[in-house]
Amino acid sequence: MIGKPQTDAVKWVSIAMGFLLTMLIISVVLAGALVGFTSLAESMLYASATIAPLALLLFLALRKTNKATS
Amino acid sequence: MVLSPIFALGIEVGFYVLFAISLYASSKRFGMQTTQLLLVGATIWTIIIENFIVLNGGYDYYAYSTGSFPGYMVWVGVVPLWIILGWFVMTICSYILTDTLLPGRSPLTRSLMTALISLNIDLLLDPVAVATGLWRWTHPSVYLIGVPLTNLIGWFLIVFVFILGFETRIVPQIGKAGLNPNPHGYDWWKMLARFLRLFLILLPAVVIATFVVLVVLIPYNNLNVESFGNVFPAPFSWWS
Repeated sequence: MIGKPQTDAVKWVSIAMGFLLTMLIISVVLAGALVGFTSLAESMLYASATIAPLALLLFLALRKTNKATS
Repeated sequence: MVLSPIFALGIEVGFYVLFAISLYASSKRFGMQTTQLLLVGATIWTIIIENFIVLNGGYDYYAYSTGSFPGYMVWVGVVPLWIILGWFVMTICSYILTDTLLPGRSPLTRSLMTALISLNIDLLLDPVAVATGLWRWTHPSVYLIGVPLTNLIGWFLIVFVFILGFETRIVPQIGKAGLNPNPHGYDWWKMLARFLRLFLILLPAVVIATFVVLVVLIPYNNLNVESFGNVFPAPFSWWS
């Protein structure tokens, strides 16, 4: 690990990652209506399939940092 | 579909906010010196690659341009600044996530993970960007939901090579000076020079690899040839 885990750092990293993910989810929900390449259902399926791995990784990272600092 | 110019400006401002948050998070995680090193490295890295590809007619950012306004507020050459900083945002968030999930793993594994997370983010963003005209792909390739396969391979390669270079050439040197947060710091300019020297080898390698992928995919192109018209007069756009 390059950085030393600190409670403060973990908090800010979590906020940043959470914010980024929220922005992405909003973008993709918008895409459901905007993407002209496929149907709305397919757009939402695509959005869910691409968000799932990120959400899982974020969850694992937060769980790990919580364990390290608790 | 091109939306209101306010949408493009909103996205631009939104990315500046994301950039500020990412910068702060990175400074907390890796320390300010390493964050600045990554920022300067990533900025130079992407300015060269992005401008090179736009000048070659790979894509453009002019859907929202009018006669009096170029569509976005700040540009670096033919690429909006928010795109350049967006690369840093994606890379640093992926790298922080990787550093949390895979501490102490080999540079190869960590670079692979960072590149895969970045690619995952791009899979979310690119169809939205294409649908709303934030950028327009203008080269022949295999297109999936409006996004060329060249781009997806390019995303992976660019992030993978950048992080692999950082992990193998810079991190061991930073380690000698003490891990961050490091009260004594290290010779930042020396590290930057080392990083930039590495680019002299890596940049041509990435450009050549992208070019090879591009050529391999051209025969399988599934985009209307008329769509290749690039608004920007790309001087090296040999296929248009």
